[in-house]
Amino acid sequence: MSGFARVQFKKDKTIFSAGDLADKLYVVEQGAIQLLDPRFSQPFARVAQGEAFGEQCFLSQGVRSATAVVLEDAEGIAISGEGFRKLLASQSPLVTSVFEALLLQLHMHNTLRRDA
Amino acid sequence: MATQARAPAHFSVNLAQLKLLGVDNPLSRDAVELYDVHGLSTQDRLFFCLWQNSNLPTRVFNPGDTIAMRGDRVHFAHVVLSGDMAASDENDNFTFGAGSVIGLAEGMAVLPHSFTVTARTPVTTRFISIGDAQHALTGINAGLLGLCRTAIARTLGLKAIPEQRK
Repeated sequence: MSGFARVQFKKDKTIFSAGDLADKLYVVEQGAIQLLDPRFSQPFARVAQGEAFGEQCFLSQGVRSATAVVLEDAEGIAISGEGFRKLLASQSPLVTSVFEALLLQLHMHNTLRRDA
Repeated sequence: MATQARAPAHFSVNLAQLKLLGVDNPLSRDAVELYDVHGLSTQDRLFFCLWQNSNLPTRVFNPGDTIAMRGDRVHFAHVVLSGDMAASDENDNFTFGAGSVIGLAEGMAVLPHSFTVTARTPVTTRFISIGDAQHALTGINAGLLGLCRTAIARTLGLKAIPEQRK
């Protein structure tokens, strides 16, 4: 399918850094990735089989808010931002709304955790 | 030792700035340029998409109304369009404003509300039926489903990713 590609990453590779243009979403099929808070270089999430990261590509011209580093050799699927937006557009409109609201709630909880 | 009073953690988008934009399609090229010019954050842009979405029904709460009760089952999630709320969990007090999302990740994970939320001013929300949302996600692309499950787990601080309810 257009916009989808299989990818493999070796341990310790930086997949993207905070501030980079968000052009792809990744679905992990094997291995593990850790997401780092750019302000402290501290990991705040571990992403493994069946999970995904890089959701900022949903928004055109979105930028990465975290740095993604390979924790264990990993394989998965990279989905381009355009491919992802087309995929969402092919679903029920409610799926897009749920997705937007879930991402907004994730931002909210991250903000509250930082500030509490 | 005396403890220093601290303002509760707060979450809100910059609603005043968003209202000045006046674009119809939040994903259009014009809108993207405006986002760039105005330096809107990801959360501002996500809120903008939901704010413009008239397919989601609207509800109004009066000051003093309870919007969510910690521990109760979630039937409807709310995206707050305007208003101020007091919120609390087992440890902390918070203030919520426009852009706050109440109960969605919890409802999708079939977990109870994380916060008790009470309106301090008139509050307008768009709401999502959890049953409808779970039905809409049934059979969607595996990548999208994986992303939704990851977002739910990261929001709630869960190590295990919740399975979709059948």
